[in-house]
Amino acid sequence: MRGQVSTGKARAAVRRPAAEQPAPRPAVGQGYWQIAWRRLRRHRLGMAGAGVVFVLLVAALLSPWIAPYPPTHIDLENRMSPPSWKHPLGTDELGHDVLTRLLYAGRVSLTVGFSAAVASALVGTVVGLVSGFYGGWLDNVLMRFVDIMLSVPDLPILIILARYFGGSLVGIVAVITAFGWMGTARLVRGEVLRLKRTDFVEAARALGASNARIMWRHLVPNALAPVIVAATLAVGGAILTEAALSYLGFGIQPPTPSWGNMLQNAQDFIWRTPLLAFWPGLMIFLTVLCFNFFGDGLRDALDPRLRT
Amino acid sequence: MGGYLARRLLQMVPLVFGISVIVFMVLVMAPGDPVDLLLAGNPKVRAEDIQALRKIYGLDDPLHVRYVKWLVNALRGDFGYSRTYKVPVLQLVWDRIGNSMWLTIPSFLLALAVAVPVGVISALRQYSALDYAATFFTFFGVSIPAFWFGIMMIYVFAVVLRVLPPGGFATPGVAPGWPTVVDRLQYMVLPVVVLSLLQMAALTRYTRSSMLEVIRQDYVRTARAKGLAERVVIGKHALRNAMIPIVTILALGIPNLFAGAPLTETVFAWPGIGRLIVESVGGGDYATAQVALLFLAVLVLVFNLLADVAYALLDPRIRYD
Amino acid sequence: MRSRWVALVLVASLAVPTLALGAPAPVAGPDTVVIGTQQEPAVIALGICDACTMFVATMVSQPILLPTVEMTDEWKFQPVAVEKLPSLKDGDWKLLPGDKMQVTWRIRRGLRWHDGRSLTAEDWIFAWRVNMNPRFPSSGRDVSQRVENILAPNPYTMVVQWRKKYAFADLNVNGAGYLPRHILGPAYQRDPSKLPQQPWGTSEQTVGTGPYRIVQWQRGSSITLERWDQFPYEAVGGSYRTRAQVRRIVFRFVPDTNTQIANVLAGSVDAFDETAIPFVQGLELEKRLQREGRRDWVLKAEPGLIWEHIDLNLDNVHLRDKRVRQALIYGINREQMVQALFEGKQPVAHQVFPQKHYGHNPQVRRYTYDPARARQLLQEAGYTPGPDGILQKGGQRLSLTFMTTAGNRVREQVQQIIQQQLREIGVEIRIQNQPARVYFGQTLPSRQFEMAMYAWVFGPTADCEGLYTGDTLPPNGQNYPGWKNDEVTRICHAVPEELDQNRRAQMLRRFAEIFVDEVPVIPLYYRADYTGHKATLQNWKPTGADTPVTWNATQWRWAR
Repeated sequence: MRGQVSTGKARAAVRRPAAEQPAPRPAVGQGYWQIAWRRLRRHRLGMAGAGVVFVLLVAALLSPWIAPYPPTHIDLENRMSPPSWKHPLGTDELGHDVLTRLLYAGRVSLTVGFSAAVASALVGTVVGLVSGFYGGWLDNVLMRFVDIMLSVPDLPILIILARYFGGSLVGIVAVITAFGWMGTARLVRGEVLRLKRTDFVEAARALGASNARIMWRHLVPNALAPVIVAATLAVGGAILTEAALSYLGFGIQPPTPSWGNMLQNAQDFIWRTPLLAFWPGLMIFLTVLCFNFFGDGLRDALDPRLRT
Repeated sequence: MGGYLARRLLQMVPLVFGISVIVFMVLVMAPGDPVDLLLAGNPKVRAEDIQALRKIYGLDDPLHVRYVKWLVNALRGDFGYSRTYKVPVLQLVWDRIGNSMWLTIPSFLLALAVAVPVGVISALRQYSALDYAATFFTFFGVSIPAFWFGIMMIYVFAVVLRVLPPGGFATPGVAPGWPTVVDRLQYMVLPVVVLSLLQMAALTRYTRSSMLEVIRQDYVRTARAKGLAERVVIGKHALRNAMIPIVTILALGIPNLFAGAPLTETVFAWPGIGRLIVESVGGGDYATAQVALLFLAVLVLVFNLLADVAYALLDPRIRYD
Repeated sequence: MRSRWVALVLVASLAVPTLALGAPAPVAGPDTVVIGTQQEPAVIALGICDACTMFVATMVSQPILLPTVEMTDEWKFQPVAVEKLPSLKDGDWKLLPGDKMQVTWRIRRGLRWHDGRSLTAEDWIFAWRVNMNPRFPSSGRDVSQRVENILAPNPYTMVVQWRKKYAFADLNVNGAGYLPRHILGPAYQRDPSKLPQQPWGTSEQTVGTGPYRIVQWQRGSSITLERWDQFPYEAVGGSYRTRAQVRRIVFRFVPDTNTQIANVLAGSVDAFDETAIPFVQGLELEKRLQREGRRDWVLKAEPGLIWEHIDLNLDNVHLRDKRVRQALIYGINREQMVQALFEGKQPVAHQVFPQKHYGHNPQVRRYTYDPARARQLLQEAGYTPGPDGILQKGGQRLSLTFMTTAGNRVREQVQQIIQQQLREIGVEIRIQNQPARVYFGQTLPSRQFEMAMYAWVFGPTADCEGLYTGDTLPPNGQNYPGWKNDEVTRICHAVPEELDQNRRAQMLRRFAEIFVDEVPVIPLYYRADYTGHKATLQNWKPTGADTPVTWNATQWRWAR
């Protein structure tokens, strides 16, 4: 689902002139996070996004209590019924309550989105850190690998992997992560290269701090902000990817509902009950949109240098 | 410059090699092989026939032998036959790329035609209603699932209004010449719109931010201070410089013109390269999937290089030794 | 600066493949039938069809390449390219000592390839040789390998010598049909493994023998056949004697179902074949046409020979017990399921072979939905309810994994219904699906399943050998449940060698009785395929078997 202009390569190319300008940024301290929070609160779209995301999260967490039916409750006498008091959004081709399924599917989609984003951020951070810190042949090998991964068309490979490791939640998260960490790796590597030259890192080194300590105490906290922003935006991307894979039939398998596989099932009946296809798509869209708003707000708050 | 180019080209060799290994391994290590699948429907098949088929298709060799065989043939220019379509893989891939371009090029141009002016204007009128609308639109464009958008468009325009075909590539039996063109255009409308939305959104965003960065620069202020007309300041100084990163982005987008769009092509039943890859992966047509994936990867590499070169040529601040 | 940008664009455009519009197919008209079908065949000649889909290949090839023997929609067999079907009574089918046989076929005179060459015995012999060559990628040698030799005393007579008895030696000459030796001979000499890649059989250059010839093949889009007016109608038999009226037949390949449906509604196809629209959407389309009061289309769902079922792994600790298997089948409301999902148009299966098959046994016991009986059987088998409501025995919960091909939506629906129903009798079902390649390629052959749902596609002459014979567990055959019943093994091995149809039928009926009592497999339903045609197109006759609807293309007519 990498958009054509969002590849790490593109970002690197665009930023090149920026890197030549002085890039003043205060060392991360407590004041930094307070300022960021104040900035975030002023970002209306970002806060709206965060609000909706919060509501979705709560709804997903509470779905066993708020959903009107059990998620796998089948009612063959009552298939594809229109919205009614009993079924506010109607029922699907097996008589499942659509509202219930949407809620439970939200759990799956959000879980996949968060897990994949966090996992990608972790892998990317480790690779970027090691690559930027040690440099030399290791850096070379790792970055060439990143180049390869960025050059392979991702969706087809994702499909291949998902066919064999998908189906389960863990599998699908692993597959999405496998193609989601490269951007973060480049980002962190860049930050590390920049930070390595700064006074406080050299001071730490002069004081005899170990490599691990320098990485953990000085580099990671300072590179955290852009990683958080990237990870937030990646949640939306991961949800889209999961939906796409499920839509193609390679993602989460029934009877576990996900927005993508609900959409896939609904496609057979688009001539009769188009609403069945409407709801899950709308949920994907809303969720991704809100994560993007929120991520954008976070970026503006945490990293004003990148403000657009 | 020549030295730089040569070095970059040389660097590509191990990359291409690495990609081919990865693609090969991913394809081949997936469990089950096509022969098993082929025979699953036939209760009377004999074990020795299965063995014979494996041998003919070269599926019984160890992995590394299969890869080396493939590599040697590929270096000789023989990329094999598609097992599903019974035509040389290269020809198949080429044809499908051609089909994909019916979608990718118009959608790219459409995106460009909308995104650049909208991006520029929204940068010049920052915080205006138009700017907000454009910003919202870019979020909309990158967040909407393309396949869902496609399905909804099919529902509205093909099912309800019945003004456009719900998918496909051409109506058979249409007279050659002009009617064929008109026919093709009808099939193109929906997928082109769906496909261009994401690109349009991303491109608008880039144009806007790049333009914003430029108009804050000293030379633009200087030009204004000199009393030049606003049209000249924007047209001659700002726009030109803002285009530099945009051109890079465009160059990076070109491989996507070849890569097709697996999801959009699937939704609209368009016989393009994206769908070919998805299908060949599913149907165990290794030879096809391998070549198609590798081909696209190489394109990405080549255009990355071209983008860097273009960048160097356009931006006097960058020098390569 | 501008020139450099232009240069970049030029580089890009050099790499662009041509965007030429392909030459379009001939214009549709009243003397044309446009058939919507799903998949484009890679190879249209059956004799060299290796990885191809037999059904679509047959669909396109029937009007181009005369069959030796044809099957009608009433499942009657008629000689086409041969003068008669051999029979024991007439003496042209002879039993020889040592269970060998000799069958004599007489090819009709006056049959020609479209290039003028006569169709003779050497073409059948060539096809058989090709199929038996180990270097040729054949996927079906089961009949061919029973033939020891084929002699041709003259160009129009074939004497087929069979190694051992074979029940259908009167319908099948050699297990391979015929191929144009004068065209494929040299390529075969060079490399038999490349035979499926020759222009013959894969392009417009497929010289045929039938009343139609292929005039255009637009890859990814359509194949157009045109009537061949020199066809010797008097010289052939069966439906091919009727002089063809439709001048052109166009096969239009539409892989996407929704597009196919739109084409039907818009009338841009005249008919659609068995593969074009999956059953569920076909049902939706039929209802939509009814709702709109449209009478211009006639849709038919013909229940056929595709048998959906669940294999039970008889090595499983629970499934070893016959009572458990019977409880499962009592616990599934198959009638309600087919009513709800298919409006009863895909009928419940109670045994292996459907009604139209000669081996069908109308008297077998039927398991109708009876959850009380199911619970009782499980209790008798020693199961008691566990704390979570799931039955258990000796500390083992009655929990079974249920697999099928991932992405098959109907099967996924059936699974979910069964999961819910079995849960009510205290059986836990865990759904775990796999992509077809893994499922058929690895899981079934290694028998790593507990319950596995899939379908067998039978021909009208299908029997139980290989499927349920006790010595054909994989890798020696496809007895995936691992069923070992001596009587069944004996019967199923004997059927293909029993030459008397009545006795064969009797044997298969006995097999059905044992099968139904033992329940090694849960039969679910027989699949039906929708076909449809414009009301004014006459003589559209789907067979519901492995013979596609083009079998009588010469008889198609447009009502005036």
